Formats: sequence, C-alpha cells, structure tokens
Amino acid sequence: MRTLRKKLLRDLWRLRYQCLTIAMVVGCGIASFVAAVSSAASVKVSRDAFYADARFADVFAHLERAPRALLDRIRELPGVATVEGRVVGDFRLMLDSDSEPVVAHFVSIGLSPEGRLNETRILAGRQVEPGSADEILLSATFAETWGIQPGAHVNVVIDGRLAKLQVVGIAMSPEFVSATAPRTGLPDPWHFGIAWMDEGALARAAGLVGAFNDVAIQLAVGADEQQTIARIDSLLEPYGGLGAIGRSDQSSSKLVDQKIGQLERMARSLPLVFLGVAAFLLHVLLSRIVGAQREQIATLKALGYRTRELASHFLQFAVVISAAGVALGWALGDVAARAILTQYAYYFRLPTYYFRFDVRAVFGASVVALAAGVAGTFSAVRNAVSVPPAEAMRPEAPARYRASRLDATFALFRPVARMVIRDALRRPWRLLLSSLSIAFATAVVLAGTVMSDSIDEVLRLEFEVSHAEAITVTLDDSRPWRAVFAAAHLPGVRYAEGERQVPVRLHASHRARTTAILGQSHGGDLHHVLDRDRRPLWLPPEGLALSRPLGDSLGVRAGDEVEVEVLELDRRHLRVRVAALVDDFLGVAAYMDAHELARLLGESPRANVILLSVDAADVDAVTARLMALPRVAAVTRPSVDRGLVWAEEGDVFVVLQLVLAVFASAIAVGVVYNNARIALELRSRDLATMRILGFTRGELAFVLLSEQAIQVVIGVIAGLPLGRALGGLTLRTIDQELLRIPVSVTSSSYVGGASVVLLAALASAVVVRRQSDRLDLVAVLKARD
Amino acid sequence: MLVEALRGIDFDLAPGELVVLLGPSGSGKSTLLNILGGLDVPTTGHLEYGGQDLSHPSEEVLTRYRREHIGFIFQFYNLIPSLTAAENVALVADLADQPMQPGEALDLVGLASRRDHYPSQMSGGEQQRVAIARAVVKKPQILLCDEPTGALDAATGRLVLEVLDRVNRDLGTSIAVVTHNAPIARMADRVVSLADGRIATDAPNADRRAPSEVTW
Repeated sequence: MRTLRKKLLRDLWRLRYQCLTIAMVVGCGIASFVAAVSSAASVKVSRDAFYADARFADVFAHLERAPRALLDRIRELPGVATVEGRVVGDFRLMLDSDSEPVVAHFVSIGLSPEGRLNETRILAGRQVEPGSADEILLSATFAETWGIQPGAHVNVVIDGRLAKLQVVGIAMSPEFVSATAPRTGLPDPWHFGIAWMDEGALARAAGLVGAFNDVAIQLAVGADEQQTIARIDSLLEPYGGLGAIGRSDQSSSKLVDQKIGQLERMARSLPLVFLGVAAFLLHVLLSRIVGAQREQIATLKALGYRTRELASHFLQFAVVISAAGVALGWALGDVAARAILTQYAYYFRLPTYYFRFDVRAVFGASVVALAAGVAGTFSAVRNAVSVPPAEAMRPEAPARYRASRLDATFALFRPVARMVIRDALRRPWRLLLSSLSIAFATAVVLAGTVMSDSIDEVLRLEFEVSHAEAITVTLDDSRPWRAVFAAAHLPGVRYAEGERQVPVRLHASHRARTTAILGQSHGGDLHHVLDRDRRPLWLPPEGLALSRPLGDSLGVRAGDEVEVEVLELDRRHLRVRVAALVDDFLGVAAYMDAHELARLLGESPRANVILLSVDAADVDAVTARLMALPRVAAVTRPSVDRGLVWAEEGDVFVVLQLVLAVFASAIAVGVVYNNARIALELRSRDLATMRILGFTRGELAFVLLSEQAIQVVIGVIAGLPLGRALGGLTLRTIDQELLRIPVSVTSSSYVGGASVVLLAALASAVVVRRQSDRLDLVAVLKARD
Repeated sequence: MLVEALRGIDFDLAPGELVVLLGPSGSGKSTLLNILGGLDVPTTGHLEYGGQDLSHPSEEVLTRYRREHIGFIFQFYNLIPSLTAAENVALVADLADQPMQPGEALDLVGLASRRDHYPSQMSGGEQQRVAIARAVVKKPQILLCDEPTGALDAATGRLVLEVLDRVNRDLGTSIAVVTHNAPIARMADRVVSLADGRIATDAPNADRRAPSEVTW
C-alpha cells in the first residue's frame, strides 16, 4: 500500500495545477461562508458584550417636557428596573461645513441613583467634569471625520445664542453604535454627530432646569416589553410623550440588527449556492480525472490489487483536494471576515471587536465540502474499479461513433470541424455539465454587478427621478402653509412644494409599528413616490396606502382598518381604512392624500418639509439663506443623501463584487483548464497522430480548444440570465424593510461579466495550448493510452 | 547518461523501393523510422531528402516535410474515432495540394463499401487498410510503416501487406516497413537488419515474393 500512496502523491503532483484549480473553487465557496458567518458572529458577540458592559437600555421614550419627579413614578411601574431621565436636543455646530448645516445631538450625562445607563466609553481625552458648563464629549466617527481632537473648541448655536464649548474627550456609547441622522435614518458623520454634556449645564442651556425630555429604561428580568411600554406611554402622554420604543426600534440598534441580519442571510444563501457549484465542479472534474485512469486501474487489478484498495486510493484523491480547498477557504475566509469587520468598524463603533471564528458552522461547511468531493468521485470510482483487468491487456477499442441523421449536415464542414462537432455531440452530458459550470461562473460574477447596478438604479430613481428638488428643507415643527409660500419667494428659489409628514404608530390587533404618514398632494412636481415598475405610485383618494412590508408586518390587507396613533402634541387616535398595499422600494411608510390627511388631523393645510426647485448655480446661496432661518431644522440635498445610502449599502457590495469576480474567475479557470487538460490527455493519441500526418500546432490547437470554446460560449450565454436571477436572490438578503430593489442590469455589466469569464477561459486555453505544443510525438505513439 | 539508439548508420531509400527493416526489440529500427519520418532528429549525423538538408530542421520545416512527402502507418492504426473511414482519409487529403479522391484511396485498399463506417464499426485489418488509404491519399513519395501487421492475425496481416505491395507497384511509392516478423522480408526489394543500433546486414532480395506467398 505504500507504493499506492506514492502513486497518489505522484499523481497529485503530476496533476497539481488541475488539483489546485479545483481546490481554489472549493476554497472560494468555503471562504465566502466563513467570511459571512464569522463576521456576523463577531459583530454580534462584540455588540452584545458592549451592550451588557455599558448597560444599554431596553426602552427609550422622548417627550416634550416633564418634571423630574415623574421619574419616580416611572420607576414604580411594574417591569421597570432602572430609569434615567435625560435632557437631549439637536443643536447646530458652527464648523467649516461646505454648505449644509452640521447638527449635533446633545445628550446629558447625569447621575442616576441606580448608576448610569448607556454609559459612554472614553477613547481619547477624559470624561466631562460633573458640573462643568462648557465641556463636551464628541462621538468618535464624527470627531474622526472632522479631525477634532480633545482640547479643541467648537461653537454651538443653542436657542439662538452662540456658545463656545471645549471638547474634552472622544467617546462611544451603545446607544449610538451607529449614529443615524434622524431625517435620513443613515449614518452621516459630515452632517450629524453626538455630543455629551453635563446634565445641569445642558438643562440650563435648553431651558429644562428641573425637567427632562428623554428617558432611558432598563427592564426588570422577565418583564413584558410591550406591556411596560404601554404603561410608560400612558404615564408620559400628558407630557407630550411621543411613544416609547423597545431596543429593536431604537435607530442605532435597529441598523446594527439589520446589518447582522444581512450577513446572516448572506451566510445562508450565497455561499450555499457557491458550495453547490464547487461540489458540482468537483464531481465533474474528479470523474474525468479518475475516468482517464481506467486503464491504470485495470492494470493494478491485474497485478492483484483489491477493488476496495483501489476505490480507497481514488477517494483519497478527492479527500486531499477537498481538504486543500477547505484549508484554503478557512484562511481566505478568515482574512475576508477581518476585512468586512474593518469596514463595518467605521460605521459601527464598538470599543472592542472580538473576532469570532464560528467553528461549528465552519466545520459543518467543511464536512459538506469534503462529502461533496467524495460523493462527486464516488460514482466515477465505482465505474472505474469495476473495469475487468483483461481490459488492460487488450488494445484500446476506438471510441464508438455511429452514423447519425446529422451526418448530411456535417458534410458541409471540413473533417477537422466534424471531429470537433461529433466529439461535442457524442458526450452531450459532458458538454451540458461543462457549459453549466461556465454558466455558473458567469452567473456568479454577474450577480455581483447586478447588485451594484440595482442599488445604483434604485438610488437614481429615488434621488433623481422621485426627488426632483434641489434642496429639501425640514422645519422644526409643522408650520402653516404660508411657510411654503415664503420659501418660494426666497431669492434664487424657482418653485416650492410643501409636504406634511406625521409621525404615527399604527396598531392592528396586537401588533404595532412606528412610522410616518406622508401627505401627498396631487399635481406636485418635485416628489413622486415610485412603484417598482418605476411609475408614480398610485394613491387611493381615500384611506391609507401602506408599503407592502409594513402591511405584512401589521398583518393587514387592503380593506382592513388600522388604528392611527398620532405621535405629535395632539395625541389623536383615529381609525383609518387601509385602501391599498403599495410596492414602493425604499423604507416603509404610509401614504395619504394631503387634503384627506389634513381633514383627519382636523387642521388647515400645514407643512413640515419644503421641497425647493433651485438653479444649480444658486444652491449654495439658497442653502446659506435657509440655514440662517430660525424654524429650519435641516437643509439637505438629495444628491448628498444618495452618497450616504451608497456609502451605507454600496461599499459592501463593491467589495462583494470584487470577491465574486475572483471567485468566478476561479470557477472559469477550474472548468476550462481542467476540461482542456483532460481533453489533451484523452486525445493526445489522436492529436499526435494528426501531427505526424502533417497537421500544424495551430491546427491541433483548433481541434483541442474549439470544443472548449463551444462550452464557454454556450455557458456564458446561459449564464447571463442565470446571473440576473442569482443577483436578484442576493438582493433579497438586504433587509426588505430597508430596500426592496427591482433587479436591474446595465448592458455594460453583461459585457463585463461575460468578459471576466472569457478572459479566464482564454488564459487557461493559452496555457493548455502551450502544453499541447510540447506533445511528445514518439512517446505518444509508443504507449497505447 | 547518454544512450545511443543508433550508431554509424548509413542508410539510403531509393525512389520506388520497398525496404523491410528487421531487428529485435531495442535494435533501433523504430528510432531509424522516426528519424526518416521527421518525428525525431538525430543528435549527430546528416539527413537529406531529395537534396534538402534535414539534419537541423526547424519545427516548421519538419511539419512541412511530413505534410508533403511522408505517409505513416502505425501498429495500432491511430484512426480518429470520431471520423468515418472516408473522413479519416479526407482529413489528410485536405492537407495536400493534389490528393487522390478519398473514395479512390479507399477503393485502392478495397474498402469503398465501408466508407461511411466509423473505426469502432470495423475490424483491425479494415482499420489498418483505412490507415493505409489515409496515408496514400496525398500521394506521398515515402510510406513509413511501423509494425503494420503487429496487431493483426496472419490472414488479415497478409491482406494489409497486399495493399502495401499494390501501393508500391501501382503508385511507385517508396516504402519502409519496420517489423520483427522476419518472413515479411520476403516481399521486399531490400532487407536491412539492425542489431544494437547498428546495421548488421543490408542486402537486396533477389526473389521478391507476392504477399500472398508470405506465411508466418
């Protein structure tokens, strides 16, 4: 058996490039799985550690203003363990911004009898001195983006007055792992940051001495969150409470959850597709390698080896290759997971990223890959070891070809072309499987571009087609419609439209969701909500239209009624009929006709968002004018928001796209190189004969490689629609409440996807062509195989 | 270590001549045939065809030499399995300037009726005759045969030898046959026997017999 092991090693060495290409494919499959699983596990464990360590609250509530005495009543509610009343407020920072205002969300640092919740971790500098009136901490991402160091001073506009504050430390908090700007719901460190300040100082500045306007609550063990929230809400309602939310609805926590969910969905879907492809390739390629050794097997049997010994010999072949692939996958996956974490660490500020290599999941995937390798080889080995030993003693019978009805057609071609066509048609399964492998490779590379194309298209639709305004002005509160007319008369403004957005909580039976109703006026030009067919969304004249995932999560259909709890000072509860579920694609929202909304709210038309049409040249000047107005909370541009969404979603996909292109190239090289190499081995006799008969190397390469070319062309063509579908599947890993992306592919992506595979195939073909040039004519004729 | 397959060989092949090269395994007869056919190049020495020096040829020159002047017959026929008899012949006809019709070549080897059969549908003798048709279709000046009857029984082998004999007489093609089967020498114009890489004997055969008279 030692000799057989030597043969194994020699065969592996002789076929090292083929083995390597297969191991690469297995490795890529395992790597993508390891990367997704490990990075998800790492983010999760790091987040949980931070949340526990820094006492991240379970429930959050914002209100207008309440005396601090109310905190004791909250503390007495059943289910409440710890309560921390806080003062919060958004104030404009006077930084050297390009044009848009920079806002910091100020949070008070106080002393709670039970100890603080949402503790800040100081990364640089020191904690704010208790009682100091002019010291603040700044959130890490924001400070890094602006290059602000401890010791620096910043000017803040609080209540119309300019205050000069000293940054004494850079900090992070479990509450703002991802600091999302309230209007866009996205991290935007150029325009939004977090600042912490002494409670007394902030209360004085905000005019809330002896009062609080925000509360963080830790629940008792075993408390029911929904019931406790309801109790808190009824207590806070008279004080302008806007409805308490659980951790899962807290903006930072929600975004982190969504990202982890995306990674987990990706771990469950994409790598499985890849591993399937790898197993399939392993099957095709190993069957052929074993098949090419039929005669050796017969000879070994004639020499007295047992069938079992030979079967184990060839299965070891598969195990070694798969194991090499698995090892490669672990290493690559580890690197990729760390790269993903580094990227996430910019937006998700956790004090420590614990790297968690999910051993169980990875071990499971490795076993699957090994099993796939063995299973792939099994049928080929079984066929091969059943060869009777006498076969080795007989001259090789010519491969069987029979006359076919197509022969008349073939007469049109020269014999060399006929050889190629007949060989391809003689083994239709081989042709089909090879083409399918190439199709998968094309699909995988295209899937990556489909994702970025589709996200790009959605952003184009949202920020260029849907939003035609140059500037979006968010007011501090809803204002009478005349504010819109006033904005329209600002110098430089061509046209203005108002919108009314009402924060609401929708209730249906026991379910509730916090969202906003957008009042849409008919005949508006600047903002059209689009449906997935890219047409302006049709809104029913009466009743609510809900984004489909919102309706689904509430369990309501068109015709059902929902209870609308208005989360404004006037806390109305209304029953409204859901007129339709609509297929918009960005976020979840409720839509309503603007007049109908005003009627429901019992108000004359009001607006809290104003959309402005402005000449490109005037945008900066108009922005500056708007920023000086007292009632303006935020001035944004759709073009800037587009960049934010892209940074949030797109970056990951650009990396993924690159990874997929590498992966697809590995598949394409694996398939073409192996096929051509095996064809060269199987046909070396025919090819050498032809060389002796006078054919040139070029003519031989034509015979050898045109069959591969046929497979590649069929595969690439079939791979394009497959890639579109695979890309669509991958897009589903994005949280459906965040983005529902209609699949879209540009023609240049099709060309690009096809080119990657064609280039990989071409490179393999060139290598094999070189090898065929070195065909030893004499040696080939001496040996019979 | 250098192993010399051939040493001090001085060999001519005259137009229209049928030479049989005899010798045991390892005597160097196949190496000689390979050098004659442009498959192999001698380490030292001089090779010439029709006034053209082939001692240090380029790959291109060798390919052209094989393409234009040499026909090969192999022990195991080496037909292309995916091509029919006629197509295997046409494969080579395509390479030549003024070839025979493939049908004509098949007629010459008595297999016109099997033209549309694939190699797997033919016996060994038939396959070898197709191989001969494939070799002669381009009207080569030289036909080189490496153990042409080696894989065949005596009766079938004689059929193949008859075809070779006819090609030699009717077309005037020079033929060199390598064999370890001594009786075949009786159909030759000249018999060369090799041993240990040297020519042991080189003598004309005064009494050239028809293949039908050759037995083994």
